[in-house]
Amino acid sequence: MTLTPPSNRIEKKAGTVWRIQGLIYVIFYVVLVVGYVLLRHFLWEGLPFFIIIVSSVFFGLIGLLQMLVIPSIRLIYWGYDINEQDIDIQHGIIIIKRTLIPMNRIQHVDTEHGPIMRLFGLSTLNIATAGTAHKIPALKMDTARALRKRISNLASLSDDDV
Amino acid sequence: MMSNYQRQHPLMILVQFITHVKSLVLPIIFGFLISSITGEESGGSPIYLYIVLGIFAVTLVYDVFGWIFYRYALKDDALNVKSGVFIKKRRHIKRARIQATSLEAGLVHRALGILSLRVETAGSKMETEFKLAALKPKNAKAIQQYLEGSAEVDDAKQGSVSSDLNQDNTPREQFELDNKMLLIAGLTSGGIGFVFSIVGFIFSQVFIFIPDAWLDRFYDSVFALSVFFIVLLVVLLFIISWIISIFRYASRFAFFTLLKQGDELIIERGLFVKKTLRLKQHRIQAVSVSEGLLRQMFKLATIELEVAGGSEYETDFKITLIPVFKRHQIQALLTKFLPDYAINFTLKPLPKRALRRYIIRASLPFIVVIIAGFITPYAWLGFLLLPVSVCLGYMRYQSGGFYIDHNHLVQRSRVIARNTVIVQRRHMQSMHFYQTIFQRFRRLLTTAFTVMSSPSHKTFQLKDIDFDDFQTLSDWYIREK
Repeated sequence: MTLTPPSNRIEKKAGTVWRIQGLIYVIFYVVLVVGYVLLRHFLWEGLPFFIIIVSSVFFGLIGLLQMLVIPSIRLIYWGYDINEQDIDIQHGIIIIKRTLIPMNRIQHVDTEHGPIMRLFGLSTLNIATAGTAHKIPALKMDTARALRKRISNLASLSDDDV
Repeated sequence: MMSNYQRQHPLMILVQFITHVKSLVLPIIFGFLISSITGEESGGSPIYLYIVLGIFAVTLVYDVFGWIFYRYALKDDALNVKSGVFIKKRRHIKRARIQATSLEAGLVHRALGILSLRVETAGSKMETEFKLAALKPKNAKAIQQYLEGSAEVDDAKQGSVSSDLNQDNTPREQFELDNKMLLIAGLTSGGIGFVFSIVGFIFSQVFIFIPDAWLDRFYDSVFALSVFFIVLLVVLLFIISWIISIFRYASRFAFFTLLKQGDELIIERGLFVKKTLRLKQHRIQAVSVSEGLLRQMFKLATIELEVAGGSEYETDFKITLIPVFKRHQIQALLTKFLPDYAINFTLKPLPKRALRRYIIRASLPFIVVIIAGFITPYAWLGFLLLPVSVCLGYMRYQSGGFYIDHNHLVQRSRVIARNTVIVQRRHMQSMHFYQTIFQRFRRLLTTAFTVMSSPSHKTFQLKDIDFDDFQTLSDWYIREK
């Protein structure tokens, strides 16, 4: 029996954003390895070869996974739901994580977007309780803004319930 | 009287001086060692001594001015503090923002007959703690009462405050830990593991200082006496550690008294360092009843509190409400001291199919040891510990369970000690469910909830509950009113 994700999905474009992030990660390691090999070849022959290559290949592979496999799995399990009582978030890759946050526990909401996110017109919604922080990534900018407004209204409405 | 700015007790100078000197001791010793090595040819000149005396003098002057310029007042529902010789600093600590206050008296304080007052506030991580270093006991108690809001501090009442809380006619409950129970608690505290490792470490370090010739002779005789002697030695170390751990425990919890007065809990304890903690009931976020292996055997338990903000009173980030009690008294104690948490509960046990996962999880480290054992010669160790881990896995499975009523969630689990946590729905900041691939096949999932606690929050987890309980728990958590 699997946890079924809440009905609202994040934008499919999130997959592309994550793929680009994975690509950057891979490029970083390729540059690192090439630079190291060149350094070793031209300047300093005493540098160890084996360890750096093994670790780069390892991290590079993780980067490849992040680029090719993980984004689509993530998209399958990502879902959220926001109503008068609570915020319901589900995400995960191997372990599915479901989080329920009652409206009257919410202390703070904001939206943010990094450069890649902005390129695709996406935005991340951050939600904080007293102590814990949660996020819903890759929402359309106006959706994120609308949700932020809605949540802060609902949260302050249910204030007297505390 | 208290509403005007005033200084602390003049002995603050001495207290601060001692604190500062203490922190200087190591650098001074270090400097002394260096100067004695490098300064040998100059015939051991006393320059270094002068420098040290100079530093002490400067420190003393600094502390005198620190005392003069440090003034506090109680007004506008707040503790107001002005301090600083060159850079003036003002702090204004609102009564409503204070999480807890505690009175402390270390050895120096007790010798001088003064107290220090610690105030814990909510808020960002910076400056959440505040200390008045030296106060007359009378003033300290008056300030504490003012800040905890249980008494109006004015000149008329000033005198009666010091004659303690007895005149107050709000309902009171009291719990005292007698010497017998203190000893039992110390015997079963489980602090022995920690002490044993330290004693073992010291013992192993002592070997370095023993001349080799002695050591050779020692080893010869050890091997002559063989296993018997080694076992005896270990047992001896074990007993020594146990005694030390009992003393350690006793020094923390000697003279333990818990007093409930209206909405407030007042905890006093300590042999060398006396501590008094005052705590408003509504700051309690969760109550946990914990039973270590030894204590469980003797049907004993401990009640600890999760409190938002205040916590640095305890080294292990928890406030101990009742150090030890007989388990059957639990309902009576909760009714007395924590009526909000006094509920009757029967836990819903974990489904049978969770057992296998519990045993596998507990055994996994040892299985790794066994597999690694084919490379190193320690495989037998893994086999030896495997039954233990299976046992532990079973015990964890058996302990696991939860219960919900209208406003409470009770959740029990075990790592080594069995821990039953009782929480009110309104204190749960968020609820979490986790499911791994393997749990999916077995129709199980993990549940968890988060409460405010120091330093920020704490999550309590219960693994492998029935999948259907996801609906039960989330419906219970997210419902109107």
